[in-house]
Amino acid sequence: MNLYRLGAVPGIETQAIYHTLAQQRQEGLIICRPSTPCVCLGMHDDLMQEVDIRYCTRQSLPIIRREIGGGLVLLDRGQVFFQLVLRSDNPCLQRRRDSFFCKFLLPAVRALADFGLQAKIQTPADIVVNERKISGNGAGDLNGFAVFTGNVLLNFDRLFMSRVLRLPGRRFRELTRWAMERHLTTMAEELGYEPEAEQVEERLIVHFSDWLGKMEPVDYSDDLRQAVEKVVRQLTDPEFLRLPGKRRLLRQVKINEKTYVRLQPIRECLADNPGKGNECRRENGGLCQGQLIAVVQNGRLVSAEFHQLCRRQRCGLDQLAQYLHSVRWYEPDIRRAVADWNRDLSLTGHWIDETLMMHWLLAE
Amino acid sequence: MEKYHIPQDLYYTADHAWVQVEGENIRIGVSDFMQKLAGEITFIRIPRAGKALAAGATLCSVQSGKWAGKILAPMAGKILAANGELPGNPKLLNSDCYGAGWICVLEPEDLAAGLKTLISGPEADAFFTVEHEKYAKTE
Repeated sequence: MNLYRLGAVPGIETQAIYHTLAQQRQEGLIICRPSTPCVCLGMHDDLMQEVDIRYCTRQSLPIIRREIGGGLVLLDRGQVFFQLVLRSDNPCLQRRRDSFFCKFLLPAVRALADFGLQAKIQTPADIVVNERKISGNGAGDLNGFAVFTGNVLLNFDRLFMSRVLRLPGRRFRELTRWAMERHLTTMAEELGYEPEAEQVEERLIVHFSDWLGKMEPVDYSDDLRQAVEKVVRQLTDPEFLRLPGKRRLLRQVKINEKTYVRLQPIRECLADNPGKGNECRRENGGLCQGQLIAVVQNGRLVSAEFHQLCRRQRCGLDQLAQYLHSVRWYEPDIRRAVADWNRDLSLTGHWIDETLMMHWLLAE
Repeated sequence: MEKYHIPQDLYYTADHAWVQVEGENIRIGVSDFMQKLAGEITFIRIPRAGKALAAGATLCSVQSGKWAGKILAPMAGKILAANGELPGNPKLLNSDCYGAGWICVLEPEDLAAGLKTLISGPEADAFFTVEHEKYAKTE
């Protein structure tokens, strides 16, 4: 197996290299790390929905789209990449591509163990340490080759990441950052020091060699660099970046395989009052609309905050957030929590239109 | 080929798509083999009607979990229609890949020549048997 150990290269090159190898019909293991940051869209991410383009432009932050799966990521110093390009008939590939992730991630799990970290694979494709994600991954078929990519986070700037994302409002951004603090981790945070990237690379190569056999180092030649530059131009082409992608009616940010931050708009006044629905207006004349920002983990609400509803205090929506805490994101369970809350609320002389509340809570 | 549903009246491409001849045009979709290989498909980017494609150009792309793959145009031609149901319901690619999960209809530049590059009849069974052996590994 050819080994392309590139060291630190510009962020966009870290992605173009595996496309280039697949185009050139070359198998290989690539070990590299970004020397400069860039934003990387997954094959089907929607640029306009996902990325704060103005912020990226102000920061001179390049944007690239890879032709494999996985979601939007911020590539930056403090990350080490391992990327495997295999012929589609390579005997070590499994029939189901997603099943192969467990094999592919094992060398990284073992490399982390070499540093004393008890990492494990969380299916389908996360590596976690102490239940927190420490590695991002993606896969795809390119030119008849199977490509698997992953990284190990040595450190990670969550504030920077939260700025790159296009998010609806400051509080949503804060909660996204909070969820990343809570559900992502890094080697530096787990170990109390940041290990040398070269050491992490060495351990990855040792464990990939144990699996795939002897590695033959290959130079990052001028010819290969030129081919990579050509692929960079393709992957950063504005038309390619703006290809339509997965669009959601609700804004949702995936933090890891089990954790999402989502914005649930509430477009009608929920309170029992004469000017209900779109007739109900705030004191400043605006429509009475609001939103729920929810953090859902393992299918349960771990945080629920209501914002901007004009009758928030009177209707006791803050209390509803407590009733919803730890409830499964599943209609019968949410309905039960809302009914319990509304029953208690009615003791204070107020009530909420439960049907409307359920409609907006469960809107997709 | 018992493990997969491989209709005998269809043509197949080397990347596991099916092609059905409809007069001068062809209808294209993913084979049972491909949908099983991909797993649950969660997204498809369908081609735009009116778009002209060279043989081997990207026809559409699909995603399943963290895996993404492409389906290539089996022959040069122009897209006449794409299945607008699929973006909102990509599961059709898994549940009814030869029916409601069709992807698009293409008007080929040279249908007869294009069909010669495809796999059909008894060859299709043999092809998918080899493909299955190639990919079948302990999971």
